[in-house]
Amino acid sequence: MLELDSVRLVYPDFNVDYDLAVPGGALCALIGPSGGGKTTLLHTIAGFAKPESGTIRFGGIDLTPLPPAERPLSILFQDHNLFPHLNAAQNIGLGLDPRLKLSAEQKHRVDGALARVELASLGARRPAELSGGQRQRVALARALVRDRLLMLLDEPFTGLDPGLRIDMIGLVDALRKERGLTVLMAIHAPEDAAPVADLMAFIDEGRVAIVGPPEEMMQRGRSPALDRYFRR
Amino acid sequence: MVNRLPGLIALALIAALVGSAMIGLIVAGGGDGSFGPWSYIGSVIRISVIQAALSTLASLLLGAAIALALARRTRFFGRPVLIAALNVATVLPAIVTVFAIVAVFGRSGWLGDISRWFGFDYGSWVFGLEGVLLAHLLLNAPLAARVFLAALAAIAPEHWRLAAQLGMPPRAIFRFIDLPVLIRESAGIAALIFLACFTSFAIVLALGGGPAVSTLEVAIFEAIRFEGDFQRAALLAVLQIAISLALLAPLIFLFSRRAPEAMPTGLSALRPDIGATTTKLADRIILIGGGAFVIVPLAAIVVAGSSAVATLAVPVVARALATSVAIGVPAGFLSVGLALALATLGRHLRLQSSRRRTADLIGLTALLILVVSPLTLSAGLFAVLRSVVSPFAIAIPLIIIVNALMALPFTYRQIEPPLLLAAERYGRLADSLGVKGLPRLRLMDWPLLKSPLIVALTMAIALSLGDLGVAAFFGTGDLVTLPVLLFERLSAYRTAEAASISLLLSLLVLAMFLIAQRWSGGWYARTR
Amino acid sequence: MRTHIIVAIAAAAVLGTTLAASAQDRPTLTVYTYSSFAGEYGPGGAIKENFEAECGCFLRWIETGDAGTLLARLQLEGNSTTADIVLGLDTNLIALARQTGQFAEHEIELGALDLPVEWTDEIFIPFDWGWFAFVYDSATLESPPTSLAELIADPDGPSVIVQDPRTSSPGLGLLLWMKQMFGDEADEAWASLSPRIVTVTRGWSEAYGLFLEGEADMVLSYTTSPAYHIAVEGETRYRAAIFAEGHMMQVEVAGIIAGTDQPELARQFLRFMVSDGFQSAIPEGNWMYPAVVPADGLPEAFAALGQPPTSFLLPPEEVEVNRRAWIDEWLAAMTR
Repeated sequence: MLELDSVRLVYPDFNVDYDLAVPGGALCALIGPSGGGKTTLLHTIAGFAKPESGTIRFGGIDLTPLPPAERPLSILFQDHNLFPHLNAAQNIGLGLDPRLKLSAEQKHRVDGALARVELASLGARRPAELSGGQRQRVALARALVRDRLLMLLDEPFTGLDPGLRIDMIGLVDALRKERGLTVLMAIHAPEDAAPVADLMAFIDEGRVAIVGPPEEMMQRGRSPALDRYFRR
Repeated sequence: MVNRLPGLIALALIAALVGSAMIGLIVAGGGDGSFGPWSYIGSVIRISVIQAALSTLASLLLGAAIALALARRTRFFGRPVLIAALNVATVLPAIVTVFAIVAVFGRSGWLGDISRWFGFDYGSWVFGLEGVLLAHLLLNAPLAARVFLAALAAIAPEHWRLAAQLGMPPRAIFRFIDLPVLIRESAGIAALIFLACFTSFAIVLALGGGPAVSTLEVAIFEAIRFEGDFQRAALLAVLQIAISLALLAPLIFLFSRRAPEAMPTGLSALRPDIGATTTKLADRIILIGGGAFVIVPLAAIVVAGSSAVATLAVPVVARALATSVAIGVPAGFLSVGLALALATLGRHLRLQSSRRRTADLIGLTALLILVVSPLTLSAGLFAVLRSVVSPFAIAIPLIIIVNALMALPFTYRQIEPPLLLAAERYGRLADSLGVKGLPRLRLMDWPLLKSPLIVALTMAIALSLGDLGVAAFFGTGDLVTLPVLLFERLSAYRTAEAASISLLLSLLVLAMFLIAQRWSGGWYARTR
Repeated sequence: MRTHIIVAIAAAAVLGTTLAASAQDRPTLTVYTYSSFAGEYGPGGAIKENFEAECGCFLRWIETGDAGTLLARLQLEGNSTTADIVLGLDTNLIALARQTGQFAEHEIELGALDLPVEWTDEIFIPFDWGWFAFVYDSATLESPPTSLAELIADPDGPSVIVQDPRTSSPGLGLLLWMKQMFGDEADEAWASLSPRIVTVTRGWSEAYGLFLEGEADMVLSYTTSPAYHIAVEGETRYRAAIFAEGHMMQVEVAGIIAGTDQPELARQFLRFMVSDGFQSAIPEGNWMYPAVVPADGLPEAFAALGQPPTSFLLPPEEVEVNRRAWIDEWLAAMTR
């Protein structure tokens, strides 16, 4: 269970105030206009932004005082998930040891993760030699070796071809079922996530405006703001 | 025709100047006498290479350290002062650097006074390799720091979030994030600094302390101006070109395959390594030590110069100022004009005639002028002209031309990209609307070209204003520019007068820098 | 901004033309000389005033750096030179100067000269002379070397500033002095002195300025240099070290350029040069012995000066035959 309780952040021109509960093992898609606060929500959970007040709990633990590295989660961004001068295997290895001093066992795990995201033969390639989809698979593989129960995805598949997007979301869905992950995924095209998401949260003007199952959210008439967002 | 004619004329002009200078030197050097003491020439080459290598290494290390500390500490008292000092130091004329180094590190300088006050006299060590290295470091470490800082600022913020999330310790952050960026940038900047130090003139002439520490550039000057020996000058020039070409070849290669650069996103306070005690301590040491190394010499210019401002009120200073302006401004315009003509021709070849290779060649021409150093070009032109007319009699136009050519690599680099961008962005639109000729220039090119043009012009003027070598080469007793006057004052050890002229020159190039920054909407900061 | 630039260019242009115009009213005699002669503290100003008072002309000094560069400049300019007279070469350079073919015979009947040597040259006329010497500050250097050999040999000896023989006549003088003393081992001697050479300057004034600032214990100058400190500053601490082996001499000369368009005026100047109007400015202007001692004798300060036991002066032809080889030898020794 992931719970955000009155999490407030104050910026000079922008305030946010989040309340959200996502059951353990669920996949929750975050939708809403850009600038509405999706990324800030994810960054706050990851510990990159410090809330003024409120608490963030996951599995009963209060995350709020923890530094980013100690939170039980992994995060994927839209871009720049990989360090450009390290190869795919090294980028994954960083998830096991930030100094990159890997034991034989750890190297073996890296290979396993590469195989799981179907990049078994590409471990020695650098990010520049990989396609956009392959790069995000490497980032997913790193999240896998980190073995944290919460996964945050900040529009990581935006910009990929539609078919590839569906495949990637399918991979995320498969992984969370294998590992029992709780997934929070900001997404640009809600229809991509609808088939796999358990929940959809509509983030608008710095608030979690509405939460509900995808089939309901995709329906017209739930709320005027949501209808405006969907232009319906 | 409007697209090609000016470019062809510029190309012909450059080819004629450089070509005749080269032929002049070869003919002048074609005698049958011995080339003189190889042990001396060998030593000049050895010292040129060694001091340039040491200067480059030290500049890169200090520059990287300052850049890293500034990247980690995005807000502290004095940061704007340090940044401004770095900016000023990179545009400081070399001969002003000499004054600053002597004023701080000389036996009667600040450091000398302080150490004597503690009862310790370290003697005269600014003359020789040490002084040359210090001056090169003062000029080039800030340049390296600026380039490195810009590159560090372009690191994606995601990488810092990732580093925080993965729990990377400061050493790992340095190794996996900062170091690769620094290494990537080092290649180009190292080549540039090495070349500048290898052909260093004013600093070596003033601080070298005799033939034991010399560069080929100084030796060319000495061969002709001290001994009238064109043969030796030609040999030295050929050696210098050969060595520079060998060194510049990798640089050209690097220029042609530059990594696509991310837009600088600004320095972020996201870096997870700013809290560690080790980096805090290291940054404090670097910022105080490195900052003092850059700021104190500049402060010495200001302090010594402003207390001696009265010494500027003599006719010779006014005349030198007028001469410098009369050389710098036309040289700046000429350089920009040449760059504009060449870039327009290059664009035409690239886009309309799809002759990419020829277009690349034009860009290369503008860059390769660096290899033919100012004094080689001067010596060659001197050799050609002396049979026709006294080169001293037409010194000012010659100085303007050589300075304009020497600024060309910098002006061209500013002007070519936006010109190409304008055509790529609006070219088809203008074609379909049938906009041609001057209106096309005004509507399509000018908006994108305005800022870089101003930057290029002010840079070229500042470079020409600060040049000692070409003016000293063609100059005579009555032709005195500010750098020449400063060199004379320094030579006569007339410290007060040297200080005030140093200040005046610094303020002039600073004004150029500020104009560039203000009128170009920050373009300068991004492209230098 | 643009208007400012235009104003500045215009100002420069106007300044240039006025300077040129003012020079055209009277006939102008252009004299190339070394900087310290025509500079603010040299005798140039007084001489200009005295000569212009009697010639109805305009005397224009052109400073060309140092004595060595004087000749290089003349060679570079060739026939297009604007010089009418070159003043400030010394006997070590006159053979080279003669070779350029750019000088004319002076055709002047010279009276008696107060030189320690016979003078018969048909092209150059001497205007002053002196002995090269190392000058030191007796307040900081208590026991100066008493011979050149001692100065060279002692690795803990005093630090010195010398001049470049390619540009400076004292520099060339020392080169010849060393050659005279040490012959084929001169390069060894240079290599032995080299670690104590603080800097090799292009000219005399730069070296002397650095010495006065305390950058070295001794500076290559003249036996007459202390007279300046005695006469002007009343200071007696600066002394010239007199060396037992004897000292190299220097005789400074001037000559007429063959292509001058003012031959008569040029001769008038050379005649004036050996008269009181010029010579009286030498002792306390150039701080050298005058070629013709003026009517009221040498200044008092000169009486206190030490005199070398022996003088050397090499025949100009011998210097010229060997100059390049010796300079190259020096370059090699200094860069060893």
